[in-house]
Amino acid sequence: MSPRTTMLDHQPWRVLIVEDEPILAFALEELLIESGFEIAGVAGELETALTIIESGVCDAAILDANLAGVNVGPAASVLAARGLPFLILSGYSSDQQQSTFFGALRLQKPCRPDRLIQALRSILPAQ
Amino acid sequence: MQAAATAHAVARYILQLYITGVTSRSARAISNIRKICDEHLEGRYDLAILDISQHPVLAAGQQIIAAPTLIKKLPLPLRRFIGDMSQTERILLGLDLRRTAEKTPTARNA
Amino acid sequence: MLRAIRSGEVDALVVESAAGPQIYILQGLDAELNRLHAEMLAQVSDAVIAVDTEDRVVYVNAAAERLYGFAASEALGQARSNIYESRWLCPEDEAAATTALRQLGEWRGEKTHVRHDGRELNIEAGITVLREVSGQPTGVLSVIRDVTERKRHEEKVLISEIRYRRLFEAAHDGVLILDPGTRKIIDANPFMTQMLGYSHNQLIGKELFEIGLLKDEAASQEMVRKLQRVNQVRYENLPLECQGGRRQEVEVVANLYDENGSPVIQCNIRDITERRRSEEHVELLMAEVNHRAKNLLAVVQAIAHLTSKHGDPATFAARLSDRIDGLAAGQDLLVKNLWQGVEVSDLVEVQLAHFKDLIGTRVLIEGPRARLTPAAAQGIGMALHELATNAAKYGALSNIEGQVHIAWKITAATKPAFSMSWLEHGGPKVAAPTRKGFGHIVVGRMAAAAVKGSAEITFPERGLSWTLSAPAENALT
Repeated sequence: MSPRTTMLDHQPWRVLIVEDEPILAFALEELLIESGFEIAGVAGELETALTIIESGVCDAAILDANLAGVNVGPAASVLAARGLPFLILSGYSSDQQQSTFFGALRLQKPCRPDRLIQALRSILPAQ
Repeated sequence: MQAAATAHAVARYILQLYITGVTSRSARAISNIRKICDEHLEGRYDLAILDISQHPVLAAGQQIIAAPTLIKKLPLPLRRFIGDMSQTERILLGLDLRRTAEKTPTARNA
Repeated sequence: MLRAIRSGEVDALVVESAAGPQIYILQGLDAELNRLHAEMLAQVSDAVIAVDTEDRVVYVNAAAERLYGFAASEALGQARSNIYESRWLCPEDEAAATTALRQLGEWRGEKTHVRHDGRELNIEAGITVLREVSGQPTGVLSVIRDVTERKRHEEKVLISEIRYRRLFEAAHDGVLILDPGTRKIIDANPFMTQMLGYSHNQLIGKELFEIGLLKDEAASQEMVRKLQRVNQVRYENLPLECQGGRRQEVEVVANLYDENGSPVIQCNIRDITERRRSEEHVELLMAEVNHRAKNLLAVVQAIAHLTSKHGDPATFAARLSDRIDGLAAGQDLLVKNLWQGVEVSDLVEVQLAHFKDLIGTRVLIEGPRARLTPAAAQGIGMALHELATNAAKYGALSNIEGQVHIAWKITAATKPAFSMSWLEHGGPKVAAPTRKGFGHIVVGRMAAAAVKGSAEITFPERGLSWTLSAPAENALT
């Protein structure tokens, strides 16, 4: 399956959630569904995330910067290579961060739901 | 005589030595007088050494005519000695610290 | 009397006059010279004492009067031992002095004099034998300088130096002494040797950059220049490579100061490798704590959002508050266990804290030792909290006879599974709720997501029934 680049078919965007805290992942899921998005998958580990990205089922992704100590950089580079937009959700303050994740949009936890959705829409191709 | 002898034996001596600065003569005078005092008057003398070249006023009223001069103020009578005090016997006599042979009391006179 | 005058036995004549006694010194030039000498000696600051051959004082100057506490008139003619008691510093001195006086006629040295009032003086004396023209000795002249203060000062300096030396040797920091002119090390304490692995001799004569402390010669020069301006330079964190390749981190404080008139640089070097390690460790921990705190806040926010979305506005605040309580209780356990995992039994106890009196009677808890992952603990904890709240309001704990049975087990199959159940009976008659609120989501989908397994809630006639199961590797540590 190829990523969608237009909204011609009015199908919802498929978003991959990469987050290792189950309750947060759950909340993100709920939020995205009620905002009209489809969930491409929920990955708590880097391996799972890479598998889902490589299978081509997602149009965009929300990445937790730190997956229980594992840096999510590799997932970011694969997404960038495929031209797929993504944003970073991080619990670390900006000076505690080292990588820049290819200049992707970064949001601080806790993030207001409406701001998150707004940011997600801003990185997806315009309708 | 006996009483006088005894009185002298315990009396306190007041002596004054008038000198003019540091000269070999004044040094000898001092030394000699000190010796005499230590040997015969131990513990019962006051010796004042007065340098009238520094303080001439000390000589006033004492009728001093030359230095060194030793004056015995007490016990009375007043006595004067001039020179370097090297004639020990004469000074001892003059200070009533010596008796002539005929004045020495014998057991028979006591 | 005239005879005495004529025979030259007197020094002077005294004539009374209206202006007071007039003294006529008989000896001419000699007397003048004597007086001049006397005036000079009176002004000299060293004590001058002359004695005759019988050791009796024949002259003392003003300084001697002051030094020994006697007026001239008291001292003249006295035996010298009455003026002061003399002590040699060491036994050899006496023999040496006697020989010197006999052979050379003079001696110079240090002694101790004790005054009539007992006070001890350290003195430096120059002793000369006085002679007549014929060469016959007439006495001894002593010129005495009081060096008590100087000696005391010297002792103090010596003690201070000994103390310093002890500190230098024993210090647990490295100390280097440098010559500011050459920038080379002129002394190093034993700890420095220990720290760097160079021997003492290897350190002497080197510049700091040669022993791996500063980067290069320029850095060395810069340090000295700076010291000369501000007297102290501090390097908080310098890398140091020791002989043997070991890398350390050190803090260096350099001071420029004056030692007996010449400048020296003292460098105190402290190994802070351990300290840096703990500081870095703390920094890491702080970052972790921050990360977890942010996550927790995000969870709270999510719960708030979901509670508001799925619930009744009137009860929103109370419900949210209640749920956050449950979250907090679980959080305490997580922290106590350092995020390593939580025992199921501890979690159950904490979430049923309100009903602890009922535990053992109306609330039965049963299960083996099992350690939940932090994520599973959070999910199950919230579910248990939700179930307890519900039981108290509408279920088996809302009347006086109802009972709750909480149990969990680990099945020892090829793929071990963890399962847990909450079964109520004896409560008021229940019916399945018509509308599924957030509570339903908590015990259902959220709990299932937390353990990466499944959770189900049903309402059979006897009472609410909740079950959860997941692969053991997902739920347990």
